[in-house]
Amino acid sequence: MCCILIQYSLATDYAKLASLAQERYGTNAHNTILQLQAKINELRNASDIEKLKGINDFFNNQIKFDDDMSIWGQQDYWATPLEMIGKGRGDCEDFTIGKYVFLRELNIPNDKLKLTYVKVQIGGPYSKIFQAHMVLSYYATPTAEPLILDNLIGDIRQASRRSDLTPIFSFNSEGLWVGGENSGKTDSINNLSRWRDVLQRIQADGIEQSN
Amino acid sequence: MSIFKRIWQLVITTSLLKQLWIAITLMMLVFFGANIIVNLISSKNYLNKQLEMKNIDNAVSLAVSISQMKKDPVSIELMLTAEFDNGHYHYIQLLDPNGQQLFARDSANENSHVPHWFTDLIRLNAPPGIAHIQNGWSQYGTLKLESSTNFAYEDLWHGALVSLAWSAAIALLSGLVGTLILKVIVRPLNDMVKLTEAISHKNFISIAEPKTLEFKRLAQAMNLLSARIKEMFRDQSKLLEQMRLEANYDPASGLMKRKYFISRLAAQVSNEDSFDEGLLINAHISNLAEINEKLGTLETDKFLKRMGQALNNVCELNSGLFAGRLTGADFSLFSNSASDQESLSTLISHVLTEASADISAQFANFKLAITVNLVSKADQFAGLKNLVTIINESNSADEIELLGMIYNSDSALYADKDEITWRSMLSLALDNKRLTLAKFPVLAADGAIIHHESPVRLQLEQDGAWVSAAEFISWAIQLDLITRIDDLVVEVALNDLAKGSQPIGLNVSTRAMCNPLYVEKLVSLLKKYSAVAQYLWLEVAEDGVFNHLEQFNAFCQALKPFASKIGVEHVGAQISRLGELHDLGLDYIKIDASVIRGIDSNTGNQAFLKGLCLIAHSIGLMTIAEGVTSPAEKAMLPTLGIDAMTGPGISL
Repeated sequence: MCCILIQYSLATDYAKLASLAQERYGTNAHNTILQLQAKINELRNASDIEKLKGINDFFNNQIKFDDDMSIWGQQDYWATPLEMIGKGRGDCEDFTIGKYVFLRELNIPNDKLKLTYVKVQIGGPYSKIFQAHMVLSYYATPTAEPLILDNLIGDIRQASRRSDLTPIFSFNSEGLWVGGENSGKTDSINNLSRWRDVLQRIQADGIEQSN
Repeated sequence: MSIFKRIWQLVITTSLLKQLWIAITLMMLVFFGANIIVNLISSKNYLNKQLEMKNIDNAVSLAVSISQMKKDPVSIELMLTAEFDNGHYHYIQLLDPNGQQLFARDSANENSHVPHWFTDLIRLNAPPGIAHIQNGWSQYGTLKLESSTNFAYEDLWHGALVSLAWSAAIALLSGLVGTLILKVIVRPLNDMVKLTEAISHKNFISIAEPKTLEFKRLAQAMNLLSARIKEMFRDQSKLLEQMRLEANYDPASGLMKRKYFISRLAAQVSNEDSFDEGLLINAHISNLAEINEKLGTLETDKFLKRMGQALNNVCELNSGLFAGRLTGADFSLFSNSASDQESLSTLISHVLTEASADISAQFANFKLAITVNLVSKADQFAGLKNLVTIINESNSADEIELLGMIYNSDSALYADKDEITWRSMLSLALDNKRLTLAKFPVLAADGAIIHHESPVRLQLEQDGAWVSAAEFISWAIQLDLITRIDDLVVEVALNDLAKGSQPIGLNVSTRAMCNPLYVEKLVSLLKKYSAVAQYLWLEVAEDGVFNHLEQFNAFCQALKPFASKIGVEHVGAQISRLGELHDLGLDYIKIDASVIRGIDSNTGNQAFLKGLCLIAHSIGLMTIAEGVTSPAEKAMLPTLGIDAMTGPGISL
């Protein structure tokens, strides 16, 4: 009974996600969730590369890039996938988080995925314009060169082919989902890092994640 | 279950104060126990959160820093070592992407004062902080660290100890405050218990009304009971006094009857402490028979009444005087002081002549013969015998015997000694403790020993005779050695008791009873011999008690803690005041020989004694008859309610 309960709870609750989208953001958002659900179901048994491409394209096509200030009226806001889909807009973190969450949903192991802070050179190799940016890196093996999922460039490339990006720091949810026990049900929002906060909100939206 | 029942039984049967302490202890245990547990749990949760955050933050900041560095193993090791050595870590690990360990530091044996059972109980389990180190696009490794929990355990342990100390202190304080409050609350209850106990011992005291409503009503009711009984007692005493008057006073003249007069006379003269010299004035009417024949009984009684009234008037004006009608024609008056011999005899002669003026006018041969006799201490016995013979020719052997019994003191061995000799004799005797106690048994009706009356005997010369107080008392008083004798008597008595002697009865003189130093000494001796104090019977003479009621009360209060028996001796003359003694917690009365003497033939005194015993028993006093002489008296007394007897006729 206990095991069934846990398994059930780990599955993403699309019905909840869809009804929340309907309730908060309207039919468009609801439809996007349904499309996402269809996409996930379609990719369930695909190869990692197909999964990466499917999810990357889905978000890059569905969501319009914008900055937090114009979307949320805040300097820096980490939106959940539901919020991003609801608004139909997102900034680089929101894209990266959304792709991470649903690739994890497609059973790509945590240690293959990293959210990576990068410095991006805008306007060619000689440009002096740099911007803070975030991408999702995929490591086929621990020591492999990663594939980069970015919202600025539509197709997935090897890291070595992204000379415009300089990695600064990578992270994922490793160590944060300790058996679900420290998922922070008793934490007040103030106590959480931005990352844990968004993970928690994602979970509240009905997307279950395991370590 | 039965154990709980027994514990419960123990708890509910213990004193209120102990119950309070148990309640407070339990309350504090539950309250502070719960408090400490809740505190520990919330502290533990808080500390766990803090530790988890610290773990994550430190791991992330280290990983961010190292990600920016050149990945030179020595630099990385140095950096991690520096972090480990200067920070508070349980361990820091660096694993390569394949899970191989690149670096590890572990403070395996963390020293701590906190006992293991406590850390096992609390078990802080904050998850380790994990962060990834990048080397360009490739993964360099995973950093895993956990902070040291020592400080947290120490903090919790210390907090628990402080809570425990505070709760113990608060429990103690509330216990003390509660005890104090409870004592104040139940103080009236204690008084009530004392009152009830006193009443059960037939000791009808009254108490101050407490302020608490319930206690107040109870106290009022009990005080009322006490007052009622007091009243009843007073009425009975009055009735008895009436009976005593009827038994001992001559109805015609209102003066004392012969026997009573002689008893009183004997008592006065035999008072070793106070008597020195006295006067016995006798008036004899020569022709009373003729007067009676001529005038008739009615007129004669009127005449006798006038004579008695005249003498009683004189007695009322002078304390220390009393008068009696010894035979039909003999009136006597005794004064315990001989200093005003002239004026007193003139006065008596004058009032009697006046009272008999119309009789002497009617009868030519009427003659009032007044004789004045000096009674001095030196020749008490011979003098009295002589005097009684003078005043009453038909004097029976009875009275001679009575007087003889009271005055059978040894012939004065040391009468010729002067002051200096007396001082050295007494001092030496006391210094060498040549003091002993004579023994005269007081026996219950069934022959059981109540105690031994133990008058003092001194050996004034080495190997000399043991002499009684009559011999030395006046010198002892004069030389101010009497307190030493009094103190020594008590000490000898208690010492005898400690050696296993049967109960001892001591006569405490009025003078000693009124002396606070003596009472103090007595108390300290009783404290020393507290184990045998209950076998000491202390008695004070009736006139001393009633003349110094306040001191007697203090005396009784001082001795109360020791369970020594306290009594009044020579009871008889002031029965109507017996009620004043009801709340002193007395144990016994000794009824004066003047009441006991010839009781078997004196129906008036029988009724009186019966009433007296009844009252005495109703307030819990044992009744002892003094001066029991004849077997007839001895047989009669128990039937009147006498519990025990002493006197020449009583021996083991």
